[in-house]
Amino acid sequence: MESSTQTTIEIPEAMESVFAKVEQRFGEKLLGTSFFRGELSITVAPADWVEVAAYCRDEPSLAFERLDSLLGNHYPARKDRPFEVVAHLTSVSRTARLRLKTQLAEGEKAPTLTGVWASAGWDERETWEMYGIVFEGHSDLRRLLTTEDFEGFPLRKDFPLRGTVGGRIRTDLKGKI
Amino acid sequence: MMGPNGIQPAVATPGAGLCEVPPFLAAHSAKAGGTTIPHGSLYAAATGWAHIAGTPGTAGSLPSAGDIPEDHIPGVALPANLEKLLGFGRTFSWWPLLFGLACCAIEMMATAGPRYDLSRFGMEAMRASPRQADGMIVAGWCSIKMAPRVIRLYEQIPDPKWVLAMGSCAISGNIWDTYHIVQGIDSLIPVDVYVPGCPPRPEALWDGLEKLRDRVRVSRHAYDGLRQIPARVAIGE
Ligand code: SF4
Repeated sequence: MESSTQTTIEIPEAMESVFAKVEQRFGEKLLGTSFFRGELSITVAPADWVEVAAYCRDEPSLAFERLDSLLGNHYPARKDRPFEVVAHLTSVSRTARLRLKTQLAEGEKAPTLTGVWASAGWDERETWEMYGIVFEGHSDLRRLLTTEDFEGFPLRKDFPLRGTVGGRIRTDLKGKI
Repeated sequence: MMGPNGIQPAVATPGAGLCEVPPFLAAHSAKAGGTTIPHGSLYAAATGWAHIAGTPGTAGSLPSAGDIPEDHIPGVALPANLEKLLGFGRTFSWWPLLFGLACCAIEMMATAGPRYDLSRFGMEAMRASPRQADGMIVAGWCSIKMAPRVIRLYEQIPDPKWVLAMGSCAISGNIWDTYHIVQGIDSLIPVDVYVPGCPPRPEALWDGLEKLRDRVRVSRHAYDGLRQIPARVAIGE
């Protein structure tokens, strides 16, 4: 379905210019690009992750000032690099969106985006908690939505779907809540 | 355990964070034909009225010293008629806790809004503090991380209190038999009325609240006769 819609939808000009700008700056470093429903996704290597994000924010003709969200993905079928980190950027001044992706091998660390957008801290905590992707340089990688003693990474595809496994109701929270 | 005129006597539980209902309190309340109100409860009658009710010559009477176990929490009995009057009053001023957990809370808000208008029944004053509330509507799924907070809120509500579990999630965990959801809030706190649905329509919640009002009227509580709040067992206290 995706490919059929893809062919019928035109790439907006604004996105073309964004892509041209990023490609001109990084060239070979862009590992992949895709347009879907008028939205542009760019895949880069983990080593270029912070640099590309900072460029997208600081370059005046791009001006993606805001990090909408940052999240993870798990594709077990992709044996060499099953994990993916995705950042959704928004340009409030230009009304445009951009998706940045980077792919990681099991156990590979991703550099943190907290130096570019401080708000990435929360999202990276959640991504670490759900997928076990460690963000190098993150100052406070603690569990966010599950209890602190939770075991396992629940959004990995090999995590059991049923049963309240991994966590329990905390017994040692007296005086803390 | 029925009171003199067919009304099950309400047992108010100790106010200071303890929710266990000691069996002797229940027995003594049945004997006295009224409600036992321990000191420390925010219940208005705890001091003034209770003493009036407990003076000789009125229907309520203090148990004799021989009946009282050593760990007794001081309390006095209310006459059944006064309890009836209180129940009637509470029926028209039951204030739920302003507290929503998930999507069901949207329907709860709709119920409180002008179209369904909970204020017709004196329930519009959703209290933002558990200390001012008469009970809670558990609207939505409760995650394992949230569970201790829900228990804490429940225990901060002064007695007497009633709990309504709204939606499949609060009742049974719904489809979320997963790593993060409590499989039914009644595994933690005593529930008076269950309103099924995903989410229940405001009419369904309203119907559930009517059922709850029936219980309020006769001072029936889900914790009547319970020896322990399940949450206390679950978190190992
Ligand atoms: S019962 Fe349905 S509407 Fe209510 S909290 Fe659960 S999923 Fe949401």
